[in-house]
Amino acid sequence: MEQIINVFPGLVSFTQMPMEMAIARIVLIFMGFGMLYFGYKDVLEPLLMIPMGVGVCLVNAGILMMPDLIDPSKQKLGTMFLDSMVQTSDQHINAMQVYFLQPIYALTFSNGLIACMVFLGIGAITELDFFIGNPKLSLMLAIPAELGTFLTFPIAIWMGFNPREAASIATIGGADGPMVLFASLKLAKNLFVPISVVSYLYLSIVYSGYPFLIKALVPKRFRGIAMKEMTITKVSAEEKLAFSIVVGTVLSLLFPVAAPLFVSFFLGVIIRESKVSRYMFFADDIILTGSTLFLGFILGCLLSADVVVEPKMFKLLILGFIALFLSGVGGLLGGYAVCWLSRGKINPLVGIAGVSCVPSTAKVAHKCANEVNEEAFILPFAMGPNIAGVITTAIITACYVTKVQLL
Amino acid sequence: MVIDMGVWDAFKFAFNVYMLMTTITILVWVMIVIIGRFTKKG
Repeated sequence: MEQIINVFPGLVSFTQMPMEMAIARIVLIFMGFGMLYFGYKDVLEPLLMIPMGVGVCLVNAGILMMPDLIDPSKQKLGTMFLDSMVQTSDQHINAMQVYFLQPIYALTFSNGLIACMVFLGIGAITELDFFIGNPKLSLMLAIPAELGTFLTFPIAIWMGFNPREAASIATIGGADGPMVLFASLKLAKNLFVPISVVSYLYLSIVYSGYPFLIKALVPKRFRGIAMKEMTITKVSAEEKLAFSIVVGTVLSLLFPVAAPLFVSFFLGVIIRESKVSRYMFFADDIILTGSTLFLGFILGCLLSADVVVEPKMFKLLILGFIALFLSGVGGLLGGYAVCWLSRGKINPLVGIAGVSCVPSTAKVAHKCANEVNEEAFILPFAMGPNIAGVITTAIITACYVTKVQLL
Repeated sequence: MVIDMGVWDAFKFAFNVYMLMTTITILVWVMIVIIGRFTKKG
């Protein structure tokens, strides 16, 4: 019997690890199945959840005893996927010969390139008309929707994180995955894996979670406001091009540390508005699709049992929830404020679209309004604060990264 | 180097960051208005 079991190192590895890790491993395998299933059923964001679920499932199944690349005289439990602990260039080169995902991880994750590629793609699919057509309303709604990014920082400090870690965690409130990835890589590389995983897990739940918050905080009569008196101003391609290059340049000038993100986003917008079809196809169909696939899959592969049993993981789960909850509340408060200022012409639900998670929060706002009043078509108005939310999240992330480094 | 920070200091720091973001966001709005004046309408 023992000989038969030894033929299967994945099974033997259960006996070679602490009990809590073995249990976490089994839970994660089932969780991977769940992510895949709910992604497939469209309950969670399928673009991320399907590759992530596959990654979580398979990485936790395929654990075996293998030589440690950092100290070759030792053996350790690992996988054939990747090793996120290697640090020196020699270790990276050796790891690339062993782990099949190591080249993608080393060349796109550890330097933030994957976040920039996703941002380039997002820029290329972003319709700026709603935002530039009504910038005051859009930006007014995006500012309170950063409440979670603001208040999570002191809460994280209170829970024992240092300022660099707290700032990275706070950016989860901006609800923008690439930003969280970028901030944690710049500020807290030690927590990059758990912060990114928690962030993307919650972002995929936003679509099914925020409707509960909306229903709890906004009465039906406000939810059903149809916004029929509001119009969308048409914006010329010339204006959008000028906006992208001027704002991109000014923001890069103010925050050189976040310039790669600004450049990527505005380059995507410029590609879209220049209407160079080959570049548009490349940025959207190839770069965005490819980087989203690898982002989800590699994040799934990073979610191994040893990450979950990390003592800080539970705190991160709480803080991630607090950050997104507070941002949602802030967004709705902003929505109420503009509803009041417009004397009831603006549906307060557009406020939650200021939480940038494009386009999920705008879709959530529209869905909740449409459920109450079939004539309420607020999606175009929600897209303005949604895009403004991307910009304010980029700005607050840049502020955190720059100011925390000065401490 | 890890810096210790009290909760109140952390709140003040985060508030500063939030105010800085708000100021730059207003600057972005001003830029949009100015750009709108110098470009043709859609």
